[in-house]
Amino acid sequence: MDSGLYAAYTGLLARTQALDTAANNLANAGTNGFRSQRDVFRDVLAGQDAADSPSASQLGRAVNDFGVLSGSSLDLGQGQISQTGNPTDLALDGAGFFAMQTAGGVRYTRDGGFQRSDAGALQTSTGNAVLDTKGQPITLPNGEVSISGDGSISVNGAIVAQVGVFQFPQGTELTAEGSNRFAAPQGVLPTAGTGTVHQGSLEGANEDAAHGTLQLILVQRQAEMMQKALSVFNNDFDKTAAEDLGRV
Amino acid sequence: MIRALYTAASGMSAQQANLDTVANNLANSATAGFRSRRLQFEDMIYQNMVMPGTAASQQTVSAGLQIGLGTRSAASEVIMTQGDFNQTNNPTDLAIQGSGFFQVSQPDGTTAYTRAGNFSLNNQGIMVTSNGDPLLPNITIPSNATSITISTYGVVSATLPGQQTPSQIGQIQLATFANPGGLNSVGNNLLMSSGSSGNAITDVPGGNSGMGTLQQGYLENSNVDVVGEFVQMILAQRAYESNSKVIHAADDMYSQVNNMIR
Repeated sequence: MDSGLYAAYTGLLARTQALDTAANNLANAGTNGFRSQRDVFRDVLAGQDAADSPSASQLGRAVNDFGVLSGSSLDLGQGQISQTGNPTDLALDGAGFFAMQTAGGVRYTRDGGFQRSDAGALQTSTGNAVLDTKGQPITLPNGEVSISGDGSISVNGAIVAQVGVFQFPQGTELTAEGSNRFAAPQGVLPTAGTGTVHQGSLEGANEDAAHGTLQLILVQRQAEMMQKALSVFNNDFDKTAAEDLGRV
Repeated sequence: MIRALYTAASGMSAQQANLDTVANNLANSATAGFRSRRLQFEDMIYQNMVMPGTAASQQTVSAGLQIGLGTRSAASEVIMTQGDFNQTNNPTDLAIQGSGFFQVSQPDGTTAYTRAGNFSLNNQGIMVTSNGDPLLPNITIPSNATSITISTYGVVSATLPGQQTPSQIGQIQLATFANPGGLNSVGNNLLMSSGSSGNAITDVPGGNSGMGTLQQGYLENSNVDVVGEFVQMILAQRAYESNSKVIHAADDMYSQVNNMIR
């Protein structure tokens, strides 16, 4: 049958996956430190037969213009910072992540909704220890906690620790694990982050409703186009081939 | 596409819980000593179609294809900021300026904690909460006392007829916690200690353990920021709306696919 049918089909399939991403971004618009995902489409016949090369065949071009969903990349843009007033709520302004110790190793997060455990350790809302600049857990003595822009924690006026802010080399692909956590690829070592720590505030998601809705409309309309193309191949062309040609 | 439907549904139920929290905060905006709560969300697991960093060819690595499956409520954090003070001139009304809690003995023998200082006297002259639970340690005011004075350090003195100077009749003690945000709200303005809050550390007001000091004749209002709650309400409503749009879009795309063959 027509290769265009499959091209439109792959395009439609990719758009349904893109809708899933758009839905997840919007569902997490209220999640602290959430980083939205952006879709990456690529052409089917990658490499030597790229659509813009002069040697590209007409067929390759037709297929490539629809594209498949090849990946999703994290949008590391800044989210809105809102005040909460809780002394152990931290927001990061700028590049970087907080680090925490989990059963599966060190994980990174932008969600600074921390609290003090009953033993005085600084921990995330799920109970994972927050790490300092040297990768060690932080213990806070009782008293008034104040945290400066570089993450230095002082309790009753004496500096006790410094919250670690880490960042990764450009192009490092972090894996989202859920629970506001990201895992770094093996062997990649983070460096000190440049972000500023704000005490008593939390950073929201970097997804806004306007962008999310736009993404939604775009995906929906593109899917409609693919569907139209599919029905043209399916109803008109094949009907002609099967019924009208047979009558000649 | 079915994923998008469930994802949007998780977003809608999360925003519903958010609105529930806002409603409770607003309903308690006039409750003495009430601490507002804020709902925290986290993202759910991701479906890994292509792991980030896998080789796409010999030279290139893939950015990975991860599709998230929605959101969920993670915690409702108690906001522990100070509420405004309200002058009542009632001698048994107390406000705490600091992070301490009053200790209250429950009928079942356990100790509960509260910031609400609207105490009164029961038929035996013991200082009790508005529900009749006695303050710990018990303070008994003699029935013939002409005036009661409670100092900023929690010393309770009463002037008795025929006496020139007031005599000390009790000492109020306060409690703090390593993690006050982890206290368990049980209603009636009471909080209970939990594994997350840690055990109570008790001391007299104004001591070195950061309990804070007492103000007689004042009550602490709730720390609900009404304007902030309205902003939260609008945000929750709009987020709910955009999630319902996603359901609509997914349904629309699904029906188009179903109608492809006529």
